Amino acid sequence: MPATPDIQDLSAGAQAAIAAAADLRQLEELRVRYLGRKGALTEKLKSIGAVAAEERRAYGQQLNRLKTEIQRQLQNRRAALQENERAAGIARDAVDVTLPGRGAAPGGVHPVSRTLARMEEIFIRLGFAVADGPELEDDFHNFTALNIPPGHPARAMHDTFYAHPPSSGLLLRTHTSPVQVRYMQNHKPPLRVIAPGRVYRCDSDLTHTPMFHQVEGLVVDEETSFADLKGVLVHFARAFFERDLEVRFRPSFFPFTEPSAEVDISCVFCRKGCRVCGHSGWLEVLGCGMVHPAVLGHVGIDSERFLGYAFGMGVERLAMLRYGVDDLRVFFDNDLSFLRRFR
Amino acid sequence: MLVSENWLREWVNPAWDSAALADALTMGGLEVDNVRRQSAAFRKVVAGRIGQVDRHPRRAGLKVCTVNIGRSRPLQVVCGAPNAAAGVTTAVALIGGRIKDGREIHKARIHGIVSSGMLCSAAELDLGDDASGLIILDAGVTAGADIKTHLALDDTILELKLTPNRGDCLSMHGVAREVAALSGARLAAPALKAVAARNSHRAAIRVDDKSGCPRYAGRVLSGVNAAAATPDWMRERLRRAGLRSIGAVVDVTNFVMLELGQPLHAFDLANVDGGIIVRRAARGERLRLLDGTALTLSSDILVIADHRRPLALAGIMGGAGSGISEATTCVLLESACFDPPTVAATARRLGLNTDAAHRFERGVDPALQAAALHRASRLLIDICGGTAGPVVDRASRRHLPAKKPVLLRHARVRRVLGQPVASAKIEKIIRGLGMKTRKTVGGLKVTPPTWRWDVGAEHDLIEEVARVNGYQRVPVAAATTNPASAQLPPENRNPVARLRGGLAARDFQEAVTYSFVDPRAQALFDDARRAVRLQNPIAANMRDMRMSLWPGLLAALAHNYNRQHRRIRLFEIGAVWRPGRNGGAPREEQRIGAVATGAALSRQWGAPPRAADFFDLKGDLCALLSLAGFGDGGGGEGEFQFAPARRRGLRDGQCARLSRGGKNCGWIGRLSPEAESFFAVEQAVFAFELSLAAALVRPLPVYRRAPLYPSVSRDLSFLVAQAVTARDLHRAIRKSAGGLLGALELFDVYRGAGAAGEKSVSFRLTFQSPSRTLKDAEVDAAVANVLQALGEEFSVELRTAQSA
Repeated sequence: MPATPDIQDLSAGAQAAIAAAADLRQLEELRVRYLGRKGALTEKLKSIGAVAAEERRAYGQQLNRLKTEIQRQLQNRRAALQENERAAGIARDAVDVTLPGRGAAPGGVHPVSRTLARMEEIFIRLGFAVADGPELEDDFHNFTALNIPPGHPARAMHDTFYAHPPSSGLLLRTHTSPVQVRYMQNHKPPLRVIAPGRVYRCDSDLTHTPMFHQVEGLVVDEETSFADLKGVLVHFARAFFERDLEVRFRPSFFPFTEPSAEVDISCVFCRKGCRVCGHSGWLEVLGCGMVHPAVLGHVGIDSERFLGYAFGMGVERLAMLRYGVDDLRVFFDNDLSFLRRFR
Repeated sequence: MLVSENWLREWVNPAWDSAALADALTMGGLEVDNVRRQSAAFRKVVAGRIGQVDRHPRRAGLKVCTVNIGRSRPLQVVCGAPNAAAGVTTAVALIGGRIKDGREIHKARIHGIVSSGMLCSAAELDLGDDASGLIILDAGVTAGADIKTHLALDDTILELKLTPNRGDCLSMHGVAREVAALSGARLAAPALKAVAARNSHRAAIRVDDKSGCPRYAGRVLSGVNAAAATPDWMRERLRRAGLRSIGAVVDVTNFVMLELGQPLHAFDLANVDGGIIVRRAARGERLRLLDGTALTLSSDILVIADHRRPLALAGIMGGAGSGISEATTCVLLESACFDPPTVAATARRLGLNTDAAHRFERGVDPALQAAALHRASRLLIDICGGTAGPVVDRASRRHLPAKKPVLLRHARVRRVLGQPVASAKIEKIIRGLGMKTRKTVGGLKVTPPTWRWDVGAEHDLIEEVARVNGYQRVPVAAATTNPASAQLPPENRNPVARLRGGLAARDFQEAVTYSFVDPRAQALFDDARRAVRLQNPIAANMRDMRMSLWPGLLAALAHNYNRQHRRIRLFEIGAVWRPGRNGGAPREEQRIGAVATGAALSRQWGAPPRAADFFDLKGDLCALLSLAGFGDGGGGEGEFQFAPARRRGLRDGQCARLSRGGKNCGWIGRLSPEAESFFAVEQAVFAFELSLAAALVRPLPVYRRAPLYPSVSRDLSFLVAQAVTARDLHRAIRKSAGGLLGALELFDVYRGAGAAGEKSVSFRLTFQSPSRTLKDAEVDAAVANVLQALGEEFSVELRTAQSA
């Protein structure tokens, strides 16, 4: 049986309206208009009792088909509208992802700190503890206990800053070696320690700043030797520069060690000689030696039973060689264009 | 100290060339700071004896000299030197010769008079700094002799940087002694014959302060001609050691100091009242030094005085009133041993670092005084004539440093050095250093020599053994029993903890999620069918190994969202499993991922609330990447790049692919609507993920000098189609701006300007040159170039351009 004209009208009207629905809100209105409790189709279904009994079954089937059809159309339209809306939303929300991100970039740590951190880690991995001591020191720890009595020519090697008043006896430590003394006063051997920190010398020119940093090292044990000292420092130099460089030990003099040595590494910038190594192929990087018995004596350690070695190195010097910095003073200028290179 | 190699080889001549000699000294503890080969700074310069001197007929002050240069005909040379006089022997630069400053000598006509050469000063030949007159040579030198040969100018100067303990090496004898010990070559003993007294003029010497002056020797030389010329050979040796020739008597004292290491002082006896007294100064006493300094003395200063007044600062500098002049005929020579700390304290306090003080501070051989006196007498008599009186030697054995025998134990050597040294070797080394030894059980009894102030105990001797044997012979012990644990991570790699810390510092909370994930969540982002599947999962939603960190992180985010958290920022570092290539085994890959939703900042009074967007997360990602070198390279090769892209699970238009050096390494974007609804989060969710390997790369800092010259900045604002990306503009500007463009910052984007589909973009261009201050015109030209390029490629419309 063909659809009755009223159903045909309803169907055509609904189809057109659904197809014309511009958005989900309109579509929802259409659903209510046709399928809602008082919707056109619902009303027809409610009034099915008024239809002649012999037509009622077929009429009802037609209505139900129409209902299914409208539902299907609503659903399709809804899906299409949703997709449109989603696409529109995505288009509306699209951004230029190549624009820079928002917010602050990280800052950085000073190259001296970075270098100190690496130095400390190398020694920590070799079993060294890390100690510190005061920068405003007294004469005893900075000089006398290190076998540098008043009048000793080695005092002339250190241009010392003295604090006011002279009676205070205070000075700015000229090296980190006094930490050795303090550590030995407060700890019993065996000792294995480094002491990083600031030191001061009354000197300021192209290659000197009045403040710089050192790392001091001290080992005291019943059996330790110059060979062990060489082992530790060769390891350090190679670990620090991440290179299998050559290391040479030259006899030298420090009042608090004997035998004493200066340590050179093969130049990290050249093979045959350059400006940095003074065309020698070698770079002096640190001083070291076996702890002088008098130093052990000052802190009450039996130098017959215990031996020790000590070393001291300049942090800025190592940082300059590591990062190719050609001017010591830039470390303390704190110019951002320099500092920003270290992140 | 400057050491002439020629001179040194007269004392000891090892089979080493200059470089090997320098190396041996350095490795022996006498650091050679510099090796300078020296030769004549001139060409064709000979000795000439001036015959006749006439005044120049036309020019006052000029002289016309006839100069004998050993040829049949003398030269005629015009000269203005005040000391050009008949009989003088000087240096003549011949026609075709050249002097120090490079000038070539030509035959010239000087105010009408022909001059066939040039008479030279010391300065003109680089033989000194005296430019006031002609260099005067030994009268005996053959006319025409080549100056280069006469002065033996081909030499090598070794500059020694001696440590303060090695005062014994502050002389030619000391260095030669050391070279002999290091090389085994024979040391030629210096010619030290005693000069017998020929007159009875006995120096009156009294030492009141024996601790300050344990030994004082002196002698009088009478009938001396102090105006005699210092011989060329001596002047030349002084010069090579860095000393100026002052006059024959002082030159002799300096020469002996260089030769033997004993500083000497010469007094004009005519100005010594009554005799020498070595004592501490009385407070307030005055002394005028040779260099003109007037001092008021304090009571701790040791002086050499006569019976009336202080004459000299002991061991540091003589006084002006008692020094040698050309008129001096009677010389009192002083050869003393002063207490090092006494000299050091005074020298430091007064800031007087003289050659004498330098040596006395470090200790002068207390056995050397008489020998040095004899050596100086010999030279002085040879040069200046006269006769010597008896040597007066006041020594206080009690105050001289005692040299007691020291026990050197072989076992101790081994313990300190960590290596045994053969006992015969030890003995050979010690004896080679001039020390007396006697064998004992397990060691040696060693008597150190008088000149070694730094050797007095066993550890001093161990150092000598180590030093002469060579530090390079001491083995390098293992620094650790576990080399692997001592290994530092490479500096050009980021420790993972640094990345973790970096994200934590930017307000991300680390999450640890299960490595197996819900296949349905996985399917939002990847082809989940290719995931590694477990045979026996704990649960169906923990069945597949994750292919990305996102499913787990987003589940954690959803979990918190469901517990009323609205601002959630999480990251995780861990492995994902990607399908193997060509059906091979799955690849395990470490990644770093983050998800974020909610407000940009936590609720706070000081900043208005604002929902985070793509660029907030991109800012976080870039901060992380900057730990891996992002932003260091100005967008060059190896730099991270963001490119618009599409990806499953991320929203089109808010999705970028990250690459480094052209290699894809990650993603960032807002979740797709499906993904957001899957996790039932009703606000925008952003995520990034990148390979950990890409973030671990950390270029070492590269130092560049801070710019010396000011930079010039220009701000450009222009309208451009919205579709043109910042990256496109960036690239076009870089390409067209030239090499002077430094920083390039995009600082404003505004969509409401211009026609529909357009946006306004503002860049700041900073120009800088490493070598000069930029001119406005060249910056203008670069900017014009940029605008032209932007116009051609993107049809931009300039709104403003201004200096910033």
